[in-house]
Amino acid sequence: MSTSSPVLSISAWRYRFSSETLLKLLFLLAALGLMLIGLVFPLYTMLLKSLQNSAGDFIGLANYRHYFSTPALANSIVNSFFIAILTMVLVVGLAFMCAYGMTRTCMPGKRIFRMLTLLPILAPSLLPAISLVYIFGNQGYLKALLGGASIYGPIGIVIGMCFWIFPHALMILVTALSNSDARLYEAARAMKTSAFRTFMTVTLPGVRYGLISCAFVVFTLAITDFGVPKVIGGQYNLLATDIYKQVVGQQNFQMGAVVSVILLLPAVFTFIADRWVQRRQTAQLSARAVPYQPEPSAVRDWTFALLCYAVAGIILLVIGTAVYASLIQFWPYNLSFTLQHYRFDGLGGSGWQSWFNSLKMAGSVALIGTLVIFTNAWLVEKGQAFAPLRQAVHLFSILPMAVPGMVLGLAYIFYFNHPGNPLNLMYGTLAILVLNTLIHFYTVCHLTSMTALKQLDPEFESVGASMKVPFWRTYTRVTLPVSLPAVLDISVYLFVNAMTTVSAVVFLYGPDTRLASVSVLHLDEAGYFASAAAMAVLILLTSMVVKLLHAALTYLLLRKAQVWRHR
Amino acid sequence: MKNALLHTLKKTTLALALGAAVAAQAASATELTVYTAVESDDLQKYAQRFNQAHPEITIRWVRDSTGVMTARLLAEKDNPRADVIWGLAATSLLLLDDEGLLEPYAPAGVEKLDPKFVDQNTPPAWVGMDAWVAAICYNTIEGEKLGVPMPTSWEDLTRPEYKGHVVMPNPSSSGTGYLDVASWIQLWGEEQAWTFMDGLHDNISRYTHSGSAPCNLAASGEAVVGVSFAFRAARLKSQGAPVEVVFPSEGLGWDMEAAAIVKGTQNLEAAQTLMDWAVSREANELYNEGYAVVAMPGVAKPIENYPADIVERMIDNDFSFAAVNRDRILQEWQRRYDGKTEAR
Amino acid sequence: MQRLQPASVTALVAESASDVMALTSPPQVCLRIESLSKQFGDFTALKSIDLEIYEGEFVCFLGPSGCGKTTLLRAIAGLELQSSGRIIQNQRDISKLPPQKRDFGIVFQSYALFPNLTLADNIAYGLKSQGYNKARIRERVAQLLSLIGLEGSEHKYPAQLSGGQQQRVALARALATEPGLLLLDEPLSALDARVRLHLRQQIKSLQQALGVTTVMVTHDQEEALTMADRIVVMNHGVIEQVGTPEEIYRHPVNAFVASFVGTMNLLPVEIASASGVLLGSQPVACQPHVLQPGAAAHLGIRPEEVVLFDQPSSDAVLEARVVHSEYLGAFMRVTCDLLMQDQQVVVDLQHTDAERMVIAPGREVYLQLPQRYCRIFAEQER
Repeated sequence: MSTSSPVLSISAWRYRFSSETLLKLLFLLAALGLMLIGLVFPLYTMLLKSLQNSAGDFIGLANYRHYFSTPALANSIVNSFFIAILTMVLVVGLAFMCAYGMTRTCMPGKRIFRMLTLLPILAPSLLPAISLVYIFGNQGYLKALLGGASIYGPIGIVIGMCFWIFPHALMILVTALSNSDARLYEAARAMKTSAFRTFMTVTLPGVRYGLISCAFVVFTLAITDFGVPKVIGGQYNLLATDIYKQVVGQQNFQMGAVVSVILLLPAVFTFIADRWVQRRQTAQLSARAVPYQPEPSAVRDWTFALLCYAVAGIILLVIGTAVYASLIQFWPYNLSFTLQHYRFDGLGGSGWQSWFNSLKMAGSVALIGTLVIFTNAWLVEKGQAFAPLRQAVHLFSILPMAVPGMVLGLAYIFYFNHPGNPLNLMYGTLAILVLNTLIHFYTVCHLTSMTALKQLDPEFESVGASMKVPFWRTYTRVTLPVSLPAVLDISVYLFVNAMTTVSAVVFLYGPDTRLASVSVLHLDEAGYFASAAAMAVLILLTSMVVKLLHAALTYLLLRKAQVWRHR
Repeated sequence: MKNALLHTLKKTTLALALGAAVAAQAASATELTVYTAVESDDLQKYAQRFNQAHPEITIRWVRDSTGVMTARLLAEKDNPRADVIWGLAATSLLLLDDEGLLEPYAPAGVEKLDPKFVDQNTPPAWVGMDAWVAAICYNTIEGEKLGVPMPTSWEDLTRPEYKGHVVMPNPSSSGTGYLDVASWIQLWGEEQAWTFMDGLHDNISRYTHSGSAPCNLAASGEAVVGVSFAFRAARLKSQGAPVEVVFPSEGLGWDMEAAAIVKGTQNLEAAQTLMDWAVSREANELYNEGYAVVAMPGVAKPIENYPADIVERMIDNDFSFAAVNRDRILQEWQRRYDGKTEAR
Repeated sequence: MQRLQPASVTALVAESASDVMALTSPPQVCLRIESLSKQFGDFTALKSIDLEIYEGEFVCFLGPSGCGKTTLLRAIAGLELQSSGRIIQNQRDISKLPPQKRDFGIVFQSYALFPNLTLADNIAYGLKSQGYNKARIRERVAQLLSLIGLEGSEHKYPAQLSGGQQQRVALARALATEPGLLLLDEPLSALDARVRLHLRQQIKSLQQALGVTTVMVTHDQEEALTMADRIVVMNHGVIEQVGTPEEIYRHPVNAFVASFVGTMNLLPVEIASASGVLLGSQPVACQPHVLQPGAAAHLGIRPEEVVLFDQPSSDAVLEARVVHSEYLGAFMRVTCDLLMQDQQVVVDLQHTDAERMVIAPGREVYLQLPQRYCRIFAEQER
């Protein structure tokens, strides 16, 4: 007999049961509501808009007919694909060689190379574009290298995109190449297979899914990017910049919606293809695989080292140029140093206020987003009851990856600025920026959470339930602490992306909520290039500091938890 | 001892109460959301001057270039966010008035303004502030280096030696860009104007989003010739940029910066207060610090880098023509030249 | 069976098992399962299961993987909701209750210990919500730790223990709240052979000492035979047989049970009479059965029940040749080809006998199938 009265505890359990299941249902419904309001309804509204005229009457596909009969507009499709495919080929090729160097050779300086290649992610994509103007523009210090060609246009766009997409590709390929099975190489060697044949028959097939996935990611990032072509695109039109031009420059919202739908198509297509490939990839590597350990080989190691150093050198050159540009009095006529460009006085773009706004926004996204996304992933993975609802939430959580930022941003205008929508109170506030950014970067965080949760013992919740401990206690006492490294990764990912993103938020900022990244854009377009560079550098520094704090925090936490994490 | 303590406590309470009262008053101060295309260099100055007279009203600026601001106001037609427009092209305000977006109001003292600067309706839907005038920025250093001579007329810009050296704002997004196009059409008639623009287009290296950008690009040597407006050109030259301000001989296009109340504002009284101030002498003196021509006669003093005869060189502008035909002209412009617009 | 006062646990451990058994008669039903079915889409995991489990007994669900044994256990725990049927625990219908409202402790194959909590916190995990105060929690934790032989390890973390120790902690945690039913889901499968053997005995004696009704899922027939009071043999979602280990081993009801539990020669035969069959053309006497003459059936006999002669004998009706012999320590397993039929029979021999008879491949031998061991199984339908 336990001491507490059985009658009392039974009724307590009954109460807890109903409240627990109800609570889970409420959470799931809230998660579903979030995805509906943050993603589905806005996109639906946008789709409708593309079928209406400016007065709001339904006109079928007339807008699309107009689009395709206007060469200036339809040309952008060809341009966008050309740029995206060219970028894809260049980035995947280069990233593969660097990733190979990092995983399959004994090249010196791997760690520092890895750190340097992270830098581009920490800056808005506007930064490389601004730097390129200083390097290759009409007054650029390396202008001669272009041999008379103009940096404003496809050349600049592709170089700029390669710069900021490269780290994404490198991370995917390093992971793919790390998952190797040394036993296959031993077998190949035992059969006296040539190095080339081993590469073609063992190495390449082993990473083919990683390569395909990487190509898709690069393609999608390139076709949807807005920052680089905005700054350096010159007269070369792309889909992403067309949306902006239609909406902001020419108040033609319907045409903006049409271009958005067109841009959505390739993004959705690559997304579906990637999911399909990912599904085939599972269980390719057995748990028994022995990781491959490269042996030193001077020629090979130094060849790859030089290649990687060259890449790192370019990264440093581009970032260094932005820093330099922000410190120069008046390029190219007065090269004395000054900090005046960091004052942002009397320039468009709200100055330091926008930086504080960005901090506030990124902080909120990191905090709220991490909790919401991880909890939703937990409900999906460990929720037990309400399987169809959990499936729906999971599906909606994967979808945002397929939606380009520009499209999401425009969809938000349509949905949240509708006078009949009670949520229009959010329009122009920080809240809408937070919601938009959270949804925009939802998928990666969701998948990271799911991976972390799948690594946990599937029976934690059952054990908790068998001991009559409410699920939220097991969640806070066990699940969250054990998953802390993943949770921290998510929060820093969200912070950095919220800090650097331009595409979605550029439609949504209000008078008091202009963000630093949007300021970079406005400063650049008003012709204050040095201040634009300064603001971009400021964002980069902020992200770097946060990243370093994150690294330190993770290190401390892991050291504290070493007792129980160590296996 | 006890008394002293009590005394301190009383004082603290009083201070707290006072503080609360001040805070409450501050909170009760009206906040006006003001949409503007005024050059961002001067926004703070405008708000400060206004607040010297009316500290109880706080201004929340929303600034972008003329086309964007116009687009934004149109987009928010059903759900207006702005209280007042202070500093937007008159052509745009005419358009907004047509859409029924403006609240007519005759500011106190409006009769002192040059009637040309006030909307014809009674009460007027908008009142003018100043005129901003087209001008060309020419980078002397790069011009010499590249052998590109300083232009003196619009016609010069179509000559082959300017090929690839001219930057101009996109009329769809930039008020300056549109006033250029509208003024050429008024100067030469449609046919000749489009022929001129065809020739100009061949020499253009880039159409920019904002009206200041061409001048900034010229100043930093990214372009040799920037089609821009006098305010920016004069300001950059004063700041020491190697630019010469050129006022083309054929005549100068111009537009008016104007102010209006947005229909449906929750702060009508404060909005009217702002409008009253916007036509005042102090305000006109403020405008004159950047612009040579202002709405109130007799206020304007000559300013640095502007020619003395600027008023004579401004074309006889027909605002209603520019406003009524804005859509049509822009469509035609986009049809002809849009391939070269700076991504925006 | 009375629930134990925490203080009396250690006292009871000393008591002999027979006392506990004595208390249980007449047996009281602890858990009754009534026509329980579970459907996963098109797949039927459980087909109308009926089962009674008595107070204090140790029941094993035994069967190959996918037979539904784990599903049945999870249904009892409320971790899986049945498609139809009822579960009654101590006269209370718990069919629709979530796990939190049922009364059980559970141990999983993976231990499922919380890695970030100390052993003490793991064991005390459910105690706080049961209204235990700090002092009582500490006392209870110490008690349980000494029960599983890990005294003084309160502040260690699971990762610092071996697999067997971790599983004992999991057991202590499951017992901490004194549940009326202990569920063990393949608790020993993740451990290596020696630890498994040791823990098997520990769990069994702990269960006997505490008298807690226990259900264990296993696919290991040896584990089931040594630990269970009763075994529930399952296959394809149905219960094939329920009985004591001896009943299951000695008197399997069908060919499946016969071959799954222990080793059984299953020879295809044709029914000749009520106690006779034809093995090929050779008549063999067997146990009485109800099958019709002419029907096809299986004759089942365990290797240790076959008698092997090295000389022709009047009892030995089958001639055979040794094709293979395996050394299995205590005995030798000999595979023989029947000379008359194209069939094999496996025979277990005492090591000494095998040596005496010089058993080697190629050797001709003579087999006797004693009538009382010759079970007849009908052809299975599936």
